[in-house]
Amino acid sequence: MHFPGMLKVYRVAKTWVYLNTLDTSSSNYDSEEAELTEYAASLLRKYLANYSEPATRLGLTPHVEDKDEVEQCLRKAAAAGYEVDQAYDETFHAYTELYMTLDSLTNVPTVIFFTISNKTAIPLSVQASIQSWRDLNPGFNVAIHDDHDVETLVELLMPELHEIWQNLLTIERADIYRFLVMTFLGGNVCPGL
Amino acid sequence: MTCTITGIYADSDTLCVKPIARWTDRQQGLVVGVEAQNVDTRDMGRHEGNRAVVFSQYVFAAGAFHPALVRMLYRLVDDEETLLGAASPSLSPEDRLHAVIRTIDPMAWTDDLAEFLCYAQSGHFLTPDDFWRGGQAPTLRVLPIAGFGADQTHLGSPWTDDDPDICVLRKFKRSGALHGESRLQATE
Repeated sequence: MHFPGMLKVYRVAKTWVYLNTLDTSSSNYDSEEAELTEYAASLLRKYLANYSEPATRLGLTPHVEDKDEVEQCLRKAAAAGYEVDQAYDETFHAYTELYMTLDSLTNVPTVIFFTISNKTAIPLSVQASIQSWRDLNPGFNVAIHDDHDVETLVELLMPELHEIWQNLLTIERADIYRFLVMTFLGGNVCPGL
Repeated sequence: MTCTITGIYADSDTLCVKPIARWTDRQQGLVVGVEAQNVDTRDMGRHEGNRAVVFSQYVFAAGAFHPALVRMLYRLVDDEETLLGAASPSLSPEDRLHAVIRTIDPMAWTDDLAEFLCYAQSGHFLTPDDFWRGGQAPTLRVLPIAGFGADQTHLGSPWTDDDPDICVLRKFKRSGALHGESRLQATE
């Protein structure tokens, strides 16, 4: 099992321990506390070294007292088999560089995306909201995806996520939808979808 | 370099008050707004550090396959275990809300944008002041806080009716908290 990127490990480790702390019935919680590894500590040091300057400039100031906590989390994660895929970071960097050299491919109409539970029964307040976007942007297309549409999109665009889709929380599905649709259906790359 | 804004995502509780063409010029790959400033994450069930700004995810504009979107999306997919963990039936509603906040809320989006900026800015970093007033980085435009967050006064936004920077208003303040119980329900 691997998780890509330094921040990824940081957040996953934090969340993993947090959830296990909440879920005291979990068998993972009390098992590997003593199995601390220098490897995980080095991950944290590298994370802090790589991220501290931009993080400070962005105002993402780690709490000093959290460093020990994070280090422990990372060590527990490493002991449980979590590791960093450094190639992912390198790939993302290369992709970012490539993206910044791209020219736009087409000049297609912009699409405004909304998601609701059931588009056959749209509440009046939501209709008013969507109408405000239509009124001020008459040349734009409007796409309204309800739960059924979203599930179909997930199945088409990200089938590995579709396998767990019905087990996710409503708020998780809504949040994933926005990034899925904006990543894949922006219009300039795959307008036929 | 020419990037193209071809998609707008908007929560269904948002009101458009300024035409999209006036806050995007189709030359940015991603246009985001700020919904909060100076957030202490310890108040929200997270302990990773303060945020000088939190980028909104209830409205944003982008071209397809922008690196920041790709990073956020694939991080979520790779976090399958965490996503499912938040849905654990043993969690209380409050703990479940905190778990979701940790994985997929606007602060997670903020972290992904921060990572993108680390790669993309080539040493010319935006500052919190830029986020307050609006700023520009390669392929990314940050609107002034009034752009999307004008009425989020509970999160530190100054509210003035006649602010010329207002682009979008949100009907429900703190919708995640107010409607958290229903939004946190697993599928039947």
